[in-house]
Amino acid sequence: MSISIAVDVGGTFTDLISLDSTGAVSEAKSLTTPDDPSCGIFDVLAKAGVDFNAISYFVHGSTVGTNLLIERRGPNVGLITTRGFRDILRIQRVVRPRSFDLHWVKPRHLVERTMSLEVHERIGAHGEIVEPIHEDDVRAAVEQFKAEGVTAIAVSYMFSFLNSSHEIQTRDLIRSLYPEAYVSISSEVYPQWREYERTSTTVIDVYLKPRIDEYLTNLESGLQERGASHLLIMRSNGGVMTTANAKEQPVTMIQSGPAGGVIASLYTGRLLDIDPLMTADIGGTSFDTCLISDGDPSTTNTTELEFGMPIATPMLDIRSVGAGGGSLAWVDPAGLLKVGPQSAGAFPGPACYGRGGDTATSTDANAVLGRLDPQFKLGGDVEIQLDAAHDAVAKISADLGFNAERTASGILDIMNSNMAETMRLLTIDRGLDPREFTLVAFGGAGPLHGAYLAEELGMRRVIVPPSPGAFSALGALMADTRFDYVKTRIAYSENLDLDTINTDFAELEARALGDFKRERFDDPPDLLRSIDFRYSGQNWELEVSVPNGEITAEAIAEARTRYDAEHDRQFGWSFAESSFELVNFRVVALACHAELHLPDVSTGPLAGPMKSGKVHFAKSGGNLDTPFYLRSSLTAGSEIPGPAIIIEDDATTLVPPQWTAHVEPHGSIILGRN
Amino acid sequence: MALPDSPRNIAMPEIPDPILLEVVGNYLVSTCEEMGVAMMRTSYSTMFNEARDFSCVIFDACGEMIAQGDFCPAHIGAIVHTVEWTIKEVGSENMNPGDVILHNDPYRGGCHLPEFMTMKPCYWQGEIVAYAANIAHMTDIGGMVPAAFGDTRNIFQEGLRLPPIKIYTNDQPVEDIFSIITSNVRTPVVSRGDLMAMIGSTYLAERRILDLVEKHGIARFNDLAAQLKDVSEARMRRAIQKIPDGEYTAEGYLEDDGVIPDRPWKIRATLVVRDDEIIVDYYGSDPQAAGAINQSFGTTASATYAGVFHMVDEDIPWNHGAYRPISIVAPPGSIVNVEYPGSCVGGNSDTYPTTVDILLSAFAQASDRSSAPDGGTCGLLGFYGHSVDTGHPFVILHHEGMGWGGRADADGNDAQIVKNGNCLNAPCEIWESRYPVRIEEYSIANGSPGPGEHRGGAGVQRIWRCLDPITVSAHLNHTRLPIWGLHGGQAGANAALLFKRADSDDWQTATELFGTISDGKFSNVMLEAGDQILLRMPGGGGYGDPLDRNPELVSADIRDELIPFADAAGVYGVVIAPDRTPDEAATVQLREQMRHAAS
Repeated sequence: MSISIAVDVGGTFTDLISLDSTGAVSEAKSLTTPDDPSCGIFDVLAKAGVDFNAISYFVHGSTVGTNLLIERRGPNVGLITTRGFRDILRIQRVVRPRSFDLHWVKPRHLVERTMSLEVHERIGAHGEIVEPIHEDDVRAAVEQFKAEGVTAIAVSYMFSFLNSSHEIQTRDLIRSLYPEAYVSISSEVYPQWREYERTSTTVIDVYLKPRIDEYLTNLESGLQERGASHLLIMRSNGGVMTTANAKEQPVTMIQSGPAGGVIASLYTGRLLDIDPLMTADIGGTSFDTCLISDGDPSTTNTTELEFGMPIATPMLDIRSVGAGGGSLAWVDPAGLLKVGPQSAGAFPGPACYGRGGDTATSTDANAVLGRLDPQFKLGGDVEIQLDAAHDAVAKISADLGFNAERTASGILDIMNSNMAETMRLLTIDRGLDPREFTLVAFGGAGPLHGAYLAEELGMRRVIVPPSPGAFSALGALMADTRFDYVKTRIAYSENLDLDTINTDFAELEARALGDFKRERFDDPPDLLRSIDFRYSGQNWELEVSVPNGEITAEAIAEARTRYDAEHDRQFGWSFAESSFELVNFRVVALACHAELHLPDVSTGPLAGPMKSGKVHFAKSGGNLDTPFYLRSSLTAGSEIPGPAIIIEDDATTLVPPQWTAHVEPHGSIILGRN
Repeated sequence: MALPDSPRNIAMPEIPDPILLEVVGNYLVSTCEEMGVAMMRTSYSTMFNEARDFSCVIFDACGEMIAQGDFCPAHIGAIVHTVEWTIKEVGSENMNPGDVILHNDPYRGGCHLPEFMTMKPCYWQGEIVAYAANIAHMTDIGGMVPAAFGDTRNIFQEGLRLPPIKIYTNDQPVEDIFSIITSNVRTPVVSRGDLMAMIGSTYLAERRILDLVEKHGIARFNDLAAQLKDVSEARMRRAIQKIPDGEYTAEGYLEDDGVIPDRPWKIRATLVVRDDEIIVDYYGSDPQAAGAINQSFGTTASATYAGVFHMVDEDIPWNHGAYRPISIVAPPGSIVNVEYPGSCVGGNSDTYPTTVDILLSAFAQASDRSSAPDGGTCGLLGFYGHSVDTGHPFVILHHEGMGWGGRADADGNDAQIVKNGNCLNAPCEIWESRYPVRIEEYSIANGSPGPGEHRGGAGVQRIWRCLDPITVSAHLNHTRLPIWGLHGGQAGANAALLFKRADSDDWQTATELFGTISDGKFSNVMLEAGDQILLRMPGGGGYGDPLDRNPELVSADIRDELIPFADAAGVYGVVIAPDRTPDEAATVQLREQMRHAAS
């Protein structure tokens, strides 16, 4: 019997989902080990009792990259540029985030000015060598980097996207002189024009490299020792890639962790026929949200580390904020209650985990309000210690002069409003009405907060999917394998050379098939082609799909008609008489993963609650008698009016007063506002 | 400077559905941003598709602005007057569905000639429900200077002037108008493409506006528009109330007008704060100059609004309501209100930021939330020649980053565009791909920051090498006359514009090499292949006494090569030890001596 495994490393928990060839799904959870996340992965594999020899598919998503960037825990980075361009990261693009703000401070990029070193070399605008590279300059730069303890080096030369020979020569020289150093070259990371965006992305890529490399190498060798192999990594674009790809270009995995949850939400929306959706993934450390409409998650080709510090890589458009079950509550000097962005993480974790934490977190606040059942073990082995939660919250109460319930409710209100603010950025700030969306609440703490988040934004419906705590891992298991290939060669409509176009596509497709074979994917991928069009004289392009097989003049003419229509739709005009240019030729190789079929829940009458208890609801006047249900006992079609608590291994769903839970046949719970 | 006895109580307007109001307000702003993205992605000039030197707005049926995209502050004040003027001059009764109106006249509410406005009345069931408009900087507009910026002396030298005219009727281009324009500019293909990008974006906005009106109905849409303006007005009035009442006066100078050698021109502004209103009075400013540095009323209004918005530490939606509490007095025939046919193309590039900085120096008398002046020049250079690849003529207008002024809470930022713009610089790789130049240096100008407790930011230095003959024109400020510091801070380094012939070892000014009247303002000097151009941008002014600057920051600036080693002791009174850290005791002693010598 073969099994497929997905492991998701979050800031607090490491989650595992396994699926065997009979279709049986099981999950496990253990604490994340931030110093070397691969330890947590082997913990969870051991806990799940996985037979390593039976693993046929192993996919892994991780927030390690994102956290490195947010916490700026990367190495000392150096930059090598063309002579005359060392200040490229300091100049940026000379704009500001708001037109009228005297107090904005321009963020500094990751490389110090003194660690930006110049090399005599120059490629011209046609890819020609204007000045050969002076290798002595590279040697001198490497000596200086060694002396200053720089271990990660970005190389970005002018016009390297047209001629990468100097960058490759530089990398080879660095490798021979300083083999311990990590190197990224801009012609591989982002081979497109605009030197600042390319340099910024390359610097961020190499900043991630040492830690990602160390971590993935440990994971790979650990798996090999145990007899498993074939590890795949979740990419920011929602597809999967090999570990070799990930180590080469760690910048493509900055959204690796939360991407899985978006893919799983997409699947759930399709199953329930609900659209549009907004995701709310609340783990221990962070809150991540993304929009899905017309069956597609929103995507972007650039994000920013901070304002004006671009990261150019295709990704799902996921927004994050430091808010989760481990977010710490604190009182600022002005006496105001604050929550996060600091988190208790996995160690020591919330006070109620009894691992030495004594500062109140949002999980402690939920415990104080009676929403967590102390008899039920979180993730199977973390026992909730109510006393510890009360003690931690009491410290904050003393500072504020409130009672425990009021303090705990306040902590949750503040956290909910922080998360709602991020959801507003995605919807209200873009002129979209959140009330038209359905929230998908998951992650260990998502189902506890989902209904309140929805209320903040006036939303009426929340989906709590099955296995909410391991939902991102589930999504990673469903992700497609997707490789993107592009050839930049400008072709003019006045003298189109169809033979060259056909040769270019043939080369791209041969590379795609070769890569699939090399990575030992058994089934050949689907190949999707497209061409980026623009009218002659324009600067930006639109992507238009083109058919497989031989590209004929008719195929181009037909694509051009669709380009005109798309130009008009997006920009309000088109120019049918204009000549045009074909700029990029693209092939996407896609292997769709077989859709997962999760077991349906049983039908029949709903059994009574396992117990009932007092739960505090500030807005409903205080403690209410509240039934506690086991999620595994719920039957399809049952309706549970709030207040109610539904508990399962990895999450607790809160049904507040004025809300009703409805159980769907495949196991999702839909919370509706009365 | 007495506080008023009882500030007026500013009530917030009644909002029946706050979420809806916010959604609709942001929908309109997003629509403006979408217009901008469409213009960027479909246009032909670098000015549009890289720099994004344009602004997009939506006006309601009463002709008042209800939303704007945050692109270019220079247009945002002027566009209020441009659209209003257009509606009044053409008359809404003379507009029809399918019309688009074009306008660029600085004497009719415009800012300066290169800023073309297109405006589309949006009809719903036969009635105008809104106007979608944009103002964008057309690179070449004919006239004697490629890209317009140089040493012009009247409007006729600046380029083609267009009163409000219809460029589209019945959804079809009025080809006669296009033909007049393309026959009078140096780059007809690019100009036509840019105009289409502008017009197209108004069509896009119209679709979005009509979707919204269809969803909510016209009555509700009009109510929401009124609420948006009223909320902004109330928030603006409350923000102004936080500034102490009083009259605050400041003045500053532009170094020359490109026509009369070394004759500085004064702008004087008095900020009158009365409870919840502000009057800005420019009485005492110099008469209209002979050269291009004059501001049209639209430009002065824009600079005034920008100045006041900078004083307000709040993110208020900048619609018509926010402008209501601000009044402007600008004497006609003066440098801040040019009269026909005075030249004014540079008013909107370099006079504007100086005007804002004068207002902020006045504000510094009332608040510790102000800033020292920035470098105060866009560094505009126009390049004109023929593309090697296609033989087509090209014109590009270049702007460069300078330093921000120091602030009470921070140093000035390095390498930023002036306050009237928020345009991206053109990437070097785009420069070289499109035009026959090679960029030899693109760096931070060492030594440019103005000293202060919080020093100014640094400017950018760039060197181009011409690969073909190129005609260059310039319009920049502060090449000889420095900007000022605030509260004991000192001026930043001046701008420099220098040339080196292919066969020479010397950098020379335009005055030296070409015999121009001004180092910074001139037109049509001819460079040959191999010649080089150096542009060094000024640093921002310092804020506070340099002797109060944290010594650690001084040594960090020296390590970063931002300031010369000699300035540590000579300007900042900081003694740097051999290990490159500050020597505390010696620094205290030196600073004591320097303070003593100064007093």
